[in-house]
This record gives sequence, structure tokens and C-alpha cells, in this order.
Amino acid sequence: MGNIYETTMIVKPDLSNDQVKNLSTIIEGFFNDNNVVIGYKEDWGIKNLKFSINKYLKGSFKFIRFNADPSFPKKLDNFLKFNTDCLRFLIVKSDNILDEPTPQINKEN
Amino acid sequence: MKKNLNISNDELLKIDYKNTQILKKFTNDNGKIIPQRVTNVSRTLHTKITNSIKQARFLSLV
Repeated sequence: MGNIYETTMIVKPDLSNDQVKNLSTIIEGFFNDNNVVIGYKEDWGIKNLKFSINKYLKGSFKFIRFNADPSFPKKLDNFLKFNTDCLRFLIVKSDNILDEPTPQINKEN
Repeated sequence: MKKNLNISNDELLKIDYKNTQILKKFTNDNGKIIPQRVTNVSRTLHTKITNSIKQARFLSLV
């Protein structure tokens, strides 16, 4: 059923712990509302950006892989577009297995 | 002039925007994509490489 998609988000690095928890609950809530189960989740930590995005030189990277119907990525795109804590995001169709770790997890900075 | 990239076939199958270490082998010191006539890879693979480099650039990974 459906396809495997993955999304990578760059979140503002200067958020407090409560704000980060709040953001993750909002995103999980959005997935639950649309009956989509998150297959795999990763936190790549705070990385130096190669160029500034909205005057930020660092960004906190979050990665989510999920199995969903083809109509869901557009809804997610609309949802993340208006989220002020999310600097940038990319949603792509994935060729990987649902719970395969990414090469970025072992990488420092 | 053909370039020796020192890349195994397993690595070529894993090309992805997240795998930045492999993608760096297909860019020069200025960050430009090396042309297909130099790397001598197939057209399908080269399109895959260029697309993933552009996705990684968008996310500021490369």
C-alpha cells in the first residue's frame, strides 16, 4: 500500500528544549491525523550550513521516512511551508527500505 | 581525459542526496559537477548523480 517517502527538515538551531518537543509533537500529530505511521526517524544534530539560510549559519537536521498514499506529500508540503520553525525541507520518494539507517547518522558535524 | 574516481560498484548503487562523501567525488574543488565525458559513467547514472547533488545543495549538505 502506498509508496515510501522521506523528508529532511532544517529546523532553527536556537530553539529551546520545550520548543523542540512542541514541534515534534505537532509534526507527529499531523501524521496521526492523516493516518500515516512514521516508519523511521533520525536526528542528525546541529550542523554547519554551507551557506546562510534566513541569516542562520547552523541548522538542526531532522529526518523522517514513512509509508503513505501519493496524496499525502502535498499535504505535508503545505503544512511545513507555513511552519516558522522549519527553515527548509525536502520531500522525496525513497528507494530505501523503511527502517534503513542513513549515512549521515555516523557523520560528525 | 578520463578521470580515475576509485569508486566501487556498491558505492555507485548507493548514490543518494544523503551520501555526501560519494557525491563529493563527482564535484571539483569549486563545487561544480564534473562532466560525464570526464567521469565516463552511463547517462542514467549521471542524471541520478546530478539530481542528488542538486538536492544536497538545496539542503546545504554539499
